[in-house]
Amino acid sequence: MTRAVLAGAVAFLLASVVPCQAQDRISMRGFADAGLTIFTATQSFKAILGSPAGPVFGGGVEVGLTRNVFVSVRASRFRQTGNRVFVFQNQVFTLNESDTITVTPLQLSAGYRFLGRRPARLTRPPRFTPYAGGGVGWYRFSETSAHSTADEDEKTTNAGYHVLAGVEIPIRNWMAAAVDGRWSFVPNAFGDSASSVASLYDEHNLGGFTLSGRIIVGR
Amino acid sequence: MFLLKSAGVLTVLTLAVGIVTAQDSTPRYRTFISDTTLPGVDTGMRDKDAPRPPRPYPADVIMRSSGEAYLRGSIAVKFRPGTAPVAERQMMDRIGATTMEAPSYADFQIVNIDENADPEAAAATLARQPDVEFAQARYKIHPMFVPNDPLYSQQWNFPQIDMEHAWDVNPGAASSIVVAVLDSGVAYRNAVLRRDVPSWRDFFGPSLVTYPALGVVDIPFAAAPDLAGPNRFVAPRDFIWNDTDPLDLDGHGTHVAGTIGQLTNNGIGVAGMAFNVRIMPVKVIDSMWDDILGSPFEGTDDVVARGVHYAVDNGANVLNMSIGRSGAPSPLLQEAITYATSHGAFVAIAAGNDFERGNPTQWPAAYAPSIQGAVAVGATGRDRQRAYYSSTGPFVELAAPGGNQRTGGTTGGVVQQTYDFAFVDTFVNGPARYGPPRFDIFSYQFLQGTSMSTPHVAGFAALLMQQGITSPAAVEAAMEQFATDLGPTGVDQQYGYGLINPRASLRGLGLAK
Repeated sequence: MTRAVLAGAVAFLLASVVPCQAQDRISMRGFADAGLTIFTATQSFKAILGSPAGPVFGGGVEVGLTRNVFVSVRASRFRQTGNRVFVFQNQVFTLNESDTITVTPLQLSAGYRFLGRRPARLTRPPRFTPYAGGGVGWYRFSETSAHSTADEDEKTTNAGYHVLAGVEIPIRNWMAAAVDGRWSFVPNAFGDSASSVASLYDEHNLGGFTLSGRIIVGR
Repeated sequence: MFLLKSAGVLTVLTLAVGIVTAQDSTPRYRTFISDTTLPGVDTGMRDKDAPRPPRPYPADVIMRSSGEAYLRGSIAVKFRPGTAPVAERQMMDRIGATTMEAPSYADFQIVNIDENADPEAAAATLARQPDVEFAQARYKIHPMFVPNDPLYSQQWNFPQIDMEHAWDVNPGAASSIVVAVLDSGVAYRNAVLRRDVPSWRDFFGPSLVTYPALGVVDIPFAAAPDLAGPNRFVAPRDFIWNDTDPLDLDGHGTHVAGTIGQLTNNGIGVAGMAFNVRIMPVKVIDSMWDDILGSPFEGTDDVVARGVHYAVDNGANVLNMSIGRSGAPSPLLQEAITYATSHGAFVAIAAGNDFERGNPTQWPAAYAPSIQGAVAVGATGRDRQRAYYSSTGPFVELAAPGGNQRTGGTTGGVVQQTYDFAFVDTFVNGPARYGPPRFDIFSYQFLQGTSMSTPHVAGFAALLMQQGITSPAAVEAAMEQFATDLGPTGVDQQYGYGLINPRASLRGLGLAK
């Protein structure tokens, strides 16, 4: 249900963007992406979810300020259900108590597109456009389990930063695809709760590496 | 495999010592004439009863032996593997041993010595031999509860440890978990025992009196209505009567079993910790009526050790030992409990009730800290404070509700269904009012003691095992990690790690909280 809402929002965003005619003025494009996040807190996520990685879906808007420079806003969502655990002498005992983790980053990025020098007579866009950048973000983390009370649920928002790099491939005049990789760092997101496996493993960073495929609409 | 091994040992011992008697080969000592009786009668809550005097136990009363803390005429010995029969015989000769027995469910031998010999001295002599792993007297074990003062009427013990919310997380475990109750037996089935009851002498009253013979009487038994259910009981075994009918002739074991697994949400009576588990009644403690009726065995260290082996070998996941004693250490019990935990069974052991009697070290509780997967349990009262009787020491690892009727009145004890003691303790009012007992009339009794706190931990362990923590050592760690610290900050000698917190342990660890 939540994914459907997110997909709808992304579709609306894509439909509402204003196609730009050229790169010498401000342009706006919408994008949607799907990928895989490998969390830095590897042991903790693996203990609860069975794997340190999981699918992530997102979307956002990218604004081209110049031909090379862009800024973007991206929201994404990771949501997986596993089980609470008990760890004894490095052995993880999976408990009959489901546990759902949701991570919702909102990232503001600025980047540079490596277009190179394009001869004026060439009208075809370059075959591949690498880009790189970085930014800040707010990472909403929530955790709830089958029989938790409101006090036992965790809902926090933590600030972090990220770097990104990728390569964009044009498909149509108004559509492109991209492979995007970004490393996020969200220090001190997990505290020292006695019932925290992250605390046990001394893993406090909510960040990770996300590799995603992206569809970009707009010119 | 075990039988073959026993047979081999038996043959060797026969050659070495001469006469060998395996306890399993002894004849049946009693006969039940019927398996059907009327259902048990429930006489209701006994919260308005006048205070009862302490109920006597054979280990305290010493009806049929010398008044010492051990049996005379025999000791328990374990030889090192590979010891030659000739060497064993030489060692036996050194203490004047006559015969040696290889009991079932035991990796030790019972060596018979002269009745007048000092068993502790004989055991010490043998223990010094290089081929002897251990030797000890056959010390008597007794239940760990302190009977009644006046009280109030409510089951406060479960709210104290937040069980209502813990049951949300794990509603009473499952029938795949088996909890062995090593105790005075359990009221687990209906039966009628026909027995010629002889006269006996009272050693515990103000004066020595003789109770008359009752002749041949039919003694009725019934399953406890709030405990028994379809497929509830598994592999019953009686090491006091050496048969498979561990019927409770006391009420202690039935009360303990109730705290572990009393049927819950059945519209009857009270609740239990892990109400879906199966109960394995293993009788290792003799009561007054066992003694009066002439049971062939008493509740000594070696009998308890055999009970531990039996329970583990027959699939018990959790063992409840609301029993113990002070005095000399018991390598027998240490080894038995180690055997249990190393074979996947968690063991809950009463920490003892002797705080006001000099607070001596309690056995086998004192072994618990050195055995991962075994826990010694102290008792709290309704006020969450250590109960006045609860033994203290470095061996206390956890605390659980055991009741304190000194500060809490009658209902400050832990209530469970067991026999109506008025129909069991017919001997307490003297010979004139003495008569045959009835074990088919039940009531809800408030009792106090670490006997009552221990089954909370055993039931808790059953919940944890069903929840997914399958290793006894991890079960102990989960209990200790989430215990509510009481008394001085950190681990202390009154509460150990603190009061058990089942809900927190059952929830375990989340990613962040």
